[in-house]
Amino acid sequence: MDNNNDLNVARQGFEGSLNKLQSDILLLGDLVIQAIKKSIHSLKTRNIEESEEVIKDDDNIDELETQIQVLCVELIRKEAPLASDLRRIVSALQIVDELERIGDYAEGIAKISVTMGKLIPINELVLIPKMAESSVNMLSRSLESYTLRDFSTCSNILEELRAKDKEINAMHKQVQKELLNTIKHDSAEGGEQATYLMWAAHNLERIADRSKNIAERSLFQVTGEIN
Amino acid sequence: MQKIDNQSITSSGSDENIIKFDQSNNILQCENLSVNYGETIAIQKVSMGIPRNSIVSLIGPSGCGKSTLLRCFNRMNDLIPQAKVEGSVKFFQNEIYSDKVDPTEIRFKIGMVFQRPNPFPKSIYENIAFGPKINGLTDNLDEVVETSLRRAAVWDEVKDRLNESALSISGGQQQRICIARALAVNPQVILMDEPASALDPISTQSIEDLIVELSSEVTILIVTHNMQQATRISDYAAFMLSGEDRIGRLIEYGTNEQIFGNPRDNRTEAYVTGRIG
Ligand SMILES: Nc1ncnc2c1ncn2[C@@H]1O[C@H](COP(=O)(O)OP(=O)(O)OP(=O)(O)O)[C@@H](O)[C@H]1O
Ligand SMILES: [Mg+2]
Repeated sequence: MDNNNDLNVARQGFEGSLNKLQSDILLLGDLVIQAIKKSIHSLKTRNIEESEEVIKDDDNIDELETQIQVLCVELIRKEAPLASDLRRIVSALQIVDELERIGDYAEGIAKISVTMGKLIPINELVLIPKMAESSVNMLSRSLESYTLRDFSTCSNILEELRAKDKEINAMHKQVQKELLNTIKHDSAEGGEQATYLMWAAHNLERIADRSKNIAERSLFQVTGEIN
Repeated sequence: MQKIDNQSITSSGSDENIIKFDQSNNILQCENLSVNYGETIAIQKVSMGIPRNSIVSLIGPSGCGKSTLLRCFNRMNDLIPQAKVEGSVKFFQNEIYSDKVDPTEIRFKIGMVFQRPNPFPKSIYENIAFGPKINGLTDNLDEVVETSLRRAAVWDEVKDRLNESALSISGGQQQRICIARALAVNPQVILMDEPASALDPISTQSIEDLIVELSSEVTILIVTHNMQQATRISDYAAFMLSGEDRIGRLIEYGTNEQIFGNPRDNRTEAYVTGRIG
């Protein structure tokens, strides 16, 4: 008797839906990562059209979020999931929420860029793009953890992201310090610009934090423990 | 994702997957319980404790020995000629399979409710009064009947027709009459074998509510095929499975959260998520 086969035959449709749920979440993750990268690129290069694209594309993120939520509710209704099935659907709902919020932060950065308009750049942006790069890395790692569903890998990734999150907090403090300096000592226009950038850095710090949350939800998917 | 290797299918759950309780708090405790029907070994070496005032559900695929195990707890298997029980069952530390024990007496203390409601073809009143009468408790019979029907949450529906046949009421009401009949002799445990499987959702709900309410005074061991029902009502759940050798074994026994949230044994996981069984 081949039990693995039995498992695949029973509830095949449900299994298929769970796989679709996962690939939809990865797709959403991709859209969000693109949004962060583009928002920072447009901020750095002062490309207003590109910023506006990010703002427009956020509708796609919201729409996919809704689709995924509808699928989760439908699976709960039809399949009365338990054990690992239940954990997969619950974590999907949590992760989709985190991703949508991260998308909003990227959109927020794009909006800041639009508001800044054609202000002359005070300095070349260095630390903020660095923060963005680290946050995007954290987000990719957290999504990797989500697909792996293995206790030791997921706990290792979570540890790693907790450490990275601290690094990003430190970078954030550094950015704040530098921008405050600009506000104090630079021209009024420079001060205005620094205030906007302050918010962009804040959004990146939040993105890192929520990526760490995704790694926590991914570990929940394995352990069923909420903490 | 889940993998079950062929070797493990014929083995019991490892010992650490069977929850252990403080024995002094267990109302029932079986050790190495095996039952065979002639040549057929139905269950083998089942050991488990049932804590007082808990609701424990027994789950597992058809034929894995749930009903067989349940019947061991009040010596109901004695009534099946070819059934042979080995091992020990203790009710408050006392061996119920001892020669000194009167099985009828045990069956009053440890009552049973079956899958199909089985009221006697007598009046509702007589159904409830039957046990107390046998036990010589004929004082305040009316009161005992009323209290039992109230505890079984069926009093309001039948109070005006106590002298009508118990067969003239709905299946859900008949099942609650059977629960009232078990309660009339003040049992300490009630064994239930799929008590709601023949009922509509509303009657099922009222039986479930009743079970939860009763558990403040009575310990309940219930066999169910309905995973959602088991998660809704039980404190602990025990998963049984028979392997290729068709012998039923206890695989995993743990808290509700464990069994339906994150089972330890792959076979339990496969069963509660509907991949086997
Ligand atoms: N009276 C009997 N005589 C012979 N074999 C029996 C008898 N009762 C049960 N068995 C056998 O013992 C095994 C366990 O049966 P049991 O009724 O305990 O299973 P179960 O888990 O309650 O199944 P179900 O979910 O279908 O009620 C089965 O192989 C069954 O055929
Ligand atoms: Mg049965």
